[in-house]
Amino acid sequence: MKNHIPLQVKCDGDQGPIAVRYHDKPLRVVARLEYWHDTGCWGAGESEKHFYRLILEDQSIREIFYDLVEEEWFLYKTYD
Amino acid sequence: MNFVHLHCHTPFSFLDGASQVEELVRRAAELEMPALAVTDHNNLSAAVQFAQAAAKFGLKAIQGAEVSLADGSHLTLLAEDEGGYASLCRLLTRAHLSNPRGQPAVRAEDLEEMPGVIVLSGCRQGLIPRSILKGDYRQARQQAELYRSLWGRSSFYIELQNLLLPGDHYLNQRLLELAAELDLEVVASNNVHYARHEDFFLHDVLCCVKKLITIHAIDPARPLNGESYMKSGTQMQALFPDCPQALANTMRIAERCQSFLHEPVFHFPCFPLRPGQEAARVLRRLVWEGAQRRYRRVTPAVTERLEYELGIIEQMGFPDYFLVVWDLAHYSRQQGIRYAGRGSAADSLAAYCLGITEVDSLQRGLLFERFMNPERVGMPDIDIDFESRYRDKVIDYVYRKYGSEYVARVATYNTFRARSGLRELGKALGFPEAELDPLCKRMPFYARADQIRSLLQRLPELRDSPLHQPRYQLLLDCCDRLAGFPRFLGMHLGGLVISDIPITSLTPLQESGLGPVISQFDKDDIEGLGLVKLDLLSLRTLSVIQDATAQIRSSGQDMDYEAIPLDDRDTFAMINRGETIGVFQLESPAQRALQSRFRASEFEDVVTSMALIRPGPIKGNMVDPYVARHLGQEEVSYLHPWLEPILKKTYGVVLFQEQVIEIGRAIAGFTPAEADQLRRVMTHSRSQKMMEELGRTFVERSVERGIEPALAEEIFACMLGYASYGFCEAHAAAFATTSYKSAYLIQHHPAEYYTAILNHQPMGFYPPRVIGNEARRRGISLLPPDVCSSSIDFSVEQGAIRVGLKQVKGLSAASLESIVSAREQSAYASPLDFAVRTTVPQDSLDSLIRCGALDSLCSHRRFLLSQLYYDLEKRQARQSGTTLLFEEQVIPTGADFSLAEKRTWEYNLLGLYVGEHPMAAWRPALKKQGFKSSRDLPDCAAGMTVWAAGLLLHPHRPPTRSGKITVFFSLEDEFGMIDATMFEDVYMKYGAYIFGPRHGPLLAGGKLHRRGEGVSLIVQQVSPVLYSAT
Repeated sequence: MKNHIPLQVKCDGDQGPIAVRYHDKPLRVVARLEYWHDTGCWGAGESEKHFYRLILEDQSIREIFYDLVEEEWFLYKTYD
Repeated sequence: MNFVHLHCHTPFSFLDGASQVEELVRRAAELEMPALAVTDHNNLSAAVQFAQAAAKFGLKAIQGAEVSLADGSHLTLLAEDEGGYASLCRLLTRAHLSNPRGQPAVRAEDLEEMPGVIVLSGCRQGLIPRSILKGDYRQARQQAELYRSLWGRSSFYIELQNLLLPGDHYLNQRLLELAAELDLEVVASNNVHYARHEDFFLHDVLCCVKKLITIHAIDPARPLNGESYMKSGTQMQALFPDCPQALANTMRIAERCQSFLHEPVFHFPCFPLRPGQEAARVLRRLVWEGAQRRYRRVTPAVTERLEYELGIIEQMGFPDYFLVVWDLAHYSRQQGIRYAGRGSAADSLAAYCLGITEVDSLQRGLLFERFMNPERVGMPDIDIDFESRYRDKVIDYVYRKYGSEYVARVATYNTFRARSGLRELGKALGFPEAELDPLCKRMPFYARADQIRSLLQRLPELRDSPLHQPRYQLLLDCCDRLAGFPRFLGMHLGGLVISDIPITSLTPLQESGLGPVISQFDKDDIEGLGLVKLDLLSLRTLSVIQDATAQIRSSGQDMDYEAIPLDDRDTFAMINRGETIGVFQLESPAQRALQSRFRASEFEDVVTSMALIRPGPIKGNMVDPYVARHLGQEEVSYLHPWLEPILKKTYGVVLFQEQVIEIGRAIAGFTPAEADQLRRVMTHSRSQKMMEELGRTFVERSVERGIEPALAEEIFACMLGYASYGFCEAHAAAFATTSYKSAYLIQHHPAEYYTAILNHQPMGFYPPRVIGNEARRRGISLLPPDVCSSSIDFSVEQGAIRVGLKQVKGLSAASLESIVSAREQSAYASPLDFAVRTTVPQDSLDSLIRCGALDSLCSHRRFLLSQLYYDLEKRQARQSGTTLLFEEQVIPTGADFSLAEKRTWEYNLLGLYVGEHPMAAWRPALKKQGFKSSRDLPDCAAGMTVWAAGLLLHPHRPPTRSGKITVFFSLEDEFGMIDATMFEDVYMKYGAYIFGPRHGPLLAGGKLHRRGEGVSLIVQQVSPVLYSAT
């Protein structure tokens, strides 16, 4: 995915991410604030993505997504 | 997992539902759900279809609606029972009728009176979720408290949706808190907009159509994801893992709600009677009085038949309905409004005696059971044609008599067709309008949205259509999927229902695009509600007859339309020549071709003609054998002697639906109701299984009556072969009367009749230019429009037809009035005088000059146009009380426009040829090259190869039994018309010339075909005219 940083994410079955490796640093997920699906611009060939807004153990809030076609996790947004 | 979807949109949410009603019900059944609720936006149009589909799949149907409130917020409402449904109908009616059309909104005070309704707090657009999402929890709580006080906690639920949208988690947490604080129950829904996940793309495209945006636009109104599909109970459980109560409550609500509307509960109209009067008795009295009038001496046969009919009418609860229709006929007669009952009602002798129809069903041997019988599944209805200009007066009378709270016009569901699908979806998919327009225009107007691909393969004129390109495949996929989706509600041509209870307890009402208030149901669904439809149709032919007969009488000639003899030899001679342009129902090329070889000699032949030229008999190659038997060229035989009395009048052929009923009774001994059921199954092309079952019963019962099994099977097969396209004889007979009498009027009073036809355009099969040409062919001159002598309408002037000023394109009613009223003061002295004394605007003056309407004042049209500015300046000066500096008389100089230029303008502005037909200008060149005219063809030998030229008229491709395409069209020239037939192989080569863009006359070459007195061309080659006539 252009413009997005790939991530390594560990999931707990259907419950979603439980840990994220960010800048080589593994971080546990403390809380899952939101979870949503975005079909994207399907007319332009974009793929569907599943988003999570998470609080990580370093107390940072980040949004990550899983691309269903690429089958890969990416960082979407980091809250200051 | 036990779960029921209580919030579900069908295509009746108009661009917000992407799966058909039955598809949604089927999916719910597959997911083993015991019930389903439909909650379309502000309407209940899906209610009957939904109830019937749910009954078919064994589901409970919960009727509901998602209503919009005045502040734009939504609420989900569910009808607990029929009382709740009536509440919804009333609420929706008020929401529609108290707001501008297309912007229904429920007022807060109307929410207070909704007995039998269960309320869910709604989707994200509900006031409570909206307040929470805005961060205003207090307002959400206040609103919830208000709703709880209005409906109580047993009828108000907090609705939870987890559509995997950002904020859903937060919203649902707050909603759960709110419910706990106020001791309210929660209920889960999935705001279903389509049956399966893969249908999301169509829903998104429809949303784009609704918002007038493309799929490339970012808009909050578009769905973010495809989660609004019908999820299983397990999927719903996964979405609400911590809230099982929200799922369980869906079941509790479903258990509380009742299923209804799957079977009609009849609501017959109530005819107002004096105290102590009884509808059945009043009807009997009127029928017997009518019988006395019709027959003078009422025979035992009449008595027996009327007693039988009245018995069934009373048994089925129809006396009021008959009285209502009798009253309409009575009112029309009193008002001098011409009308004619049509359809299967003409099978009723009671209807004949009541003056509703003019067909003596007893004398014709017509069966009442075809119209009504106690075991019939569908409701009988009575159709009446009224003079077009007064039909609305009759409808107004109905509203006045029964009260607007008991009457409703019937709706039509206008659905996406190929053209509208391509245009609207194409725009949403991002194709420019300029690119879509030609693609749409090349698509046949009748094509369904899901036929585009097959037509692209089949039709030669679409062979080079850009729609074959891969870039359009998504568009074609979308069109395939949305075929049959309703786009908007329209108004049925004449359908009207009168109820015995306030109509808004049965159907919501809303304003139609044309203005009148309509029900939210179409003719089939309204019947499903138990309402009996009246079809009060507007027929221009009746207005033509009225005008023509009045004109004939005003010229001092005798004319009693009712007394027109049904055996006029000249009229039959005209029909037999196929000269029937303008004759009601006999003017199509196929009818003209039939008449020229059918040798009609009596009224019954006209009745037969109505039934013969129908898709069925044509498709079944039945017309020629029938004509051969009629002419005595083929032997008439009967499979069994019992069939002879039934089929004698149609030469052993099963032509009419009534004959199927009679055969069922005579051969198999069916009861009248069983025999009508046989007719219904056969004529409605039911399933093979039903046909086989019926066939077995027919054979068994026939054998019991002593018929050989093989013969019984043969009779059944014979009925099956013909009856699938059988025509109702009563309807044919009702139409034939008007048809024959219009032919009589044309034969004996062509100027008056064609004048009336021209005054009531658009009507019939042909445009004004063909009517004008036909009048001229009959020796009647067409006089040009003339501001000095033309009326607003066409008029008869010393045996000629004077073109009316209204025919001039673009002339407003005010201009027409101005021309006529100024002329009444004094005759126009000059073009300047005309311009000064009227208020005709510049563009209309220009048109009047160009089409020759000022020729009688000055025939130099170029000069008149050059003076137009001066004339208008003069008018302005006159109006402002000033004088022009120069008021000189200008003498026309220079050459006028050429004749060809004048003819072109005349046609463009009048839609008909006043002077010479344009083919006349081509004639010398065509003649030199051996082309024949329509006048030459009758003298040519059959089988001869001929070439002809003319203006292409009415090309069409009716269905054929083989499925192959046969094209019929006419070539119009200065002498009349040449009818042409083109078979598939030729069509594949030349179809683009026929159905593609047209420029000028067309050349067609082929074999001359002669049948009876008629000739036609079997086309082998076609070409556009490539050279100039001048």
